[in-house]
Amino acid sequence: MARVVLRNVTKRFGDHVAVSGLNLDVEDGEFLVLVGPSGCGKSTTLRLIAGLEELTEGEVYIGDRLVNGVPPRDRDVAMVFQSYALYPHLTVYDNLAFGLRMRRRQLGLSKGDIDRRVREVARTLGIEPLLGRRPKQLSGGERQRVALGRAIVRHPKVFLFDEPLSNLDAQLRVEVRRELKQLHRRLQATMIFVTHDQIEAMTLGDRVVVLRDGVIQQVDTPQRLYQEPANLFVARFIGSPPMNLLTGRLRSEGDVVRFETDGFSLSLPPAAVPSSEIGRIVLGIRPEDLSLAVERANNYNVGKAGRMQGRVEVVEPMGAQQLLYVAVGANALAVLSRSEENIQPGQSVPLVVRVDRLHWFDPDTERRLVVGTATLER
Amino acid sequence: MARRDSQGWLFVLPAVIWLLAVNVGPAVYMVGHSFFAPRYSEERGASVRRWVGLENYRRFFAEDQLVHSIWFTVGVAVVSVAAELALGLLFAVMAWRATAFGIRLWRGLFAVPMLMAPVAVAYLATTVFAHEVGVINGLLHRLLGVPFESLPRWRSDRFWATLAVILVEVWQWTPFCFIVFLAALAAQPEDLREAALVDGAGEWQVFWHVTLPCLRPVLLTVLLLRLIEALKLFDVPYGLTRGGPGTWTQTYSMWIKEVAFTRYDMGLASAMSTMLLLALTALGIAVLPLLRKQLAISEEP
Repeated sequence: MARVVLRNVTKRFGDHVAVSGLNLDVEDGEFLVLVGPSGCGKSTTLRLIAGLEELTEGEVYIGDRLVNGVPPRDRDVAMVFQSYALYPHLTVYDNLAFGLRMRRRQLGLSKGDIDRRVREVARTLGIEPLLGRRPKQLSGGERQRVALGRAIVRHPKVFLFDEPLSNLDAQLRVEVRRELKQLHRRLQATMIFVTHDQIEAMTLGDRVVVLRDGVIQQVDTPQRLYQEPANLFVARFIGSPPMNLLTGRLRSEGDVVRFETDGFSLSLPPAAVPSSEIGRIVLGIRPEDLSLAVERANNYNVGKAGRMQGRVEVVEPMGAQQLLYVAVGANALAVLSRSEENIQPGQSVPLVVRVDRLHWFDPDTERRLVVGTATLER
Repeated sequence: MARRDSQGWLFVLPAVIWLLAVNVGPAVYMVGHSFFAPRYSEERGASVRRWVGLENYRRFFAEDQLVHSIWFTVGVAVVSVAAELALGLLFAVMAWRATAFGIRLWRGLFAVPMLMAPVAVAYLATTVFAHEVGVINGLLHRLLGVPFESLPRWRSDRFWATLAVILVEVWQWTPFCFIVFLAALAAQPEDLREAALVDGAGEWQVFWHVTLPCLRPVLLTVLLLRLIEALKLFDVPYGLTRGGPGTWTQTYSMWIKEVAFTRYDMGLASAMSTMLLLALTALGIAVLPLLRKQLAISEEP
């Protein structure tokens, strides 16, 4: 168990900057997820911690030890690869024992110790019957479990996961996700997990780091990432279906503020906006914060504020809910609604927005604007 | 269904005809020939074939040359193939992760010996191994000051002649092993190496416990191919030593050629060829299951 600290970490491949000035503190026993689109530097960051890549600049600490220049074998970390990287010529037993055997002398382990640890891990993961098999004879899920076991058996200070779930089918992924979470609770180990899947990031992480072009966008709990995205990138990236983003301007009109955009305007109470007069601003609305007025009008008892009229273009049933794409002015808004509502494409519907859940962004800096505090006046 | 079957046969037919005409046919003819001996027929005024049963095989086992020829051939094959595999692997590992300037050109140049006809190589080698004017002895004499009388007699001394044959073989076929091994190394997933490094293995341990075992199927394949070729060795000693001194460096294949085209004893030559065919087939049958097992294990999951 150990903290992992990254200080001004930069990694360049030739002219390409993969990771740029990264600062990160991973707490002891924390489950931290690195998430971002491909090429954002999340895997590189993980490999820098593992020692598989050399730092261009900065410092990496594992525990309290500076590990710059320390080879992977001496960092006491374990890594689970996307491909699982099981040794094809070894049985499951030997795959699990490999790491312990390589360092038998340093660790002072007897053959009996190794055997005990391998069997114990195999038992907890339910792969005991597979110990005599070779990787080729295993299913995807079984291989995944062996790869996990190979990491656990070494009792490393830090676990590193490089997209370990992306080769599993959807059902198995959900199952393994749950198991990973249980495993983390049981081992109380520091785990760093890389994924491009925001749902995986949200469900697994104690905290989530959103990366873009090698730069951290936001580090927060999944809840806060969702509720208070720090910028437009995070707002777009986190959440499925993604947040509706509308560019427009704010204008004061009596005791309300109007948000005006292509083809429609929206009356809002002054308490729901960063400032009453802004020339250009981006409004973000989560699909679940929009509802059909007929549906739950009572819950949004805000008078005329937050109401608009739209026309349903597409209906996507999702089981308990349905996703509607509603044309409002020149925009199409995604609206999450209950399935009981019988909505047909082409139908005209009144929409209500939850005015206490609006997100505002500066279109130039892309940063989040906090309600009532914006100094920008254009 | 029947129509599809007949169409299938149609596609396979050319290959079947080719195999029968070029491989199976001559082999059967040769094996058949080993049970006959030529006899001059008075009434026909020409040579006719006479059934002699196993007589040719009896004579084969009675040949003086037999034991030495087999030992020499097997010995040269084993030593040179072992050296080719070892050197090929060594160079491949060295070139594998190398990024030095011109590494591609160097790799390409390394393949040149493989592109040359063995018999040409053998004749070129005669100038390298010539006693007083040869390149090697010239260097030994001028650079190391070895006196003329103690220079190795590459073509008239049994030991040196054997070594010369082996050296030329190794020179010519190491590049083949090198290229195949290099390709196999390049094809190995980097993940495996990295997994082992993180797992606590040092570079040397990774090579020994992961890289090398994963190369096993390729090693076995090259071993089998090279061994079969080497056991049929002909061109190099034929061009370089003419089998000398005496018949010391005469390989089994050279011996067959001598029996067939110098002694014109086609029956005996056929029997000898049949024995070689049997031996190589046995070798293949022995190694193939091993190879199949290795392939089954290491195939990418």
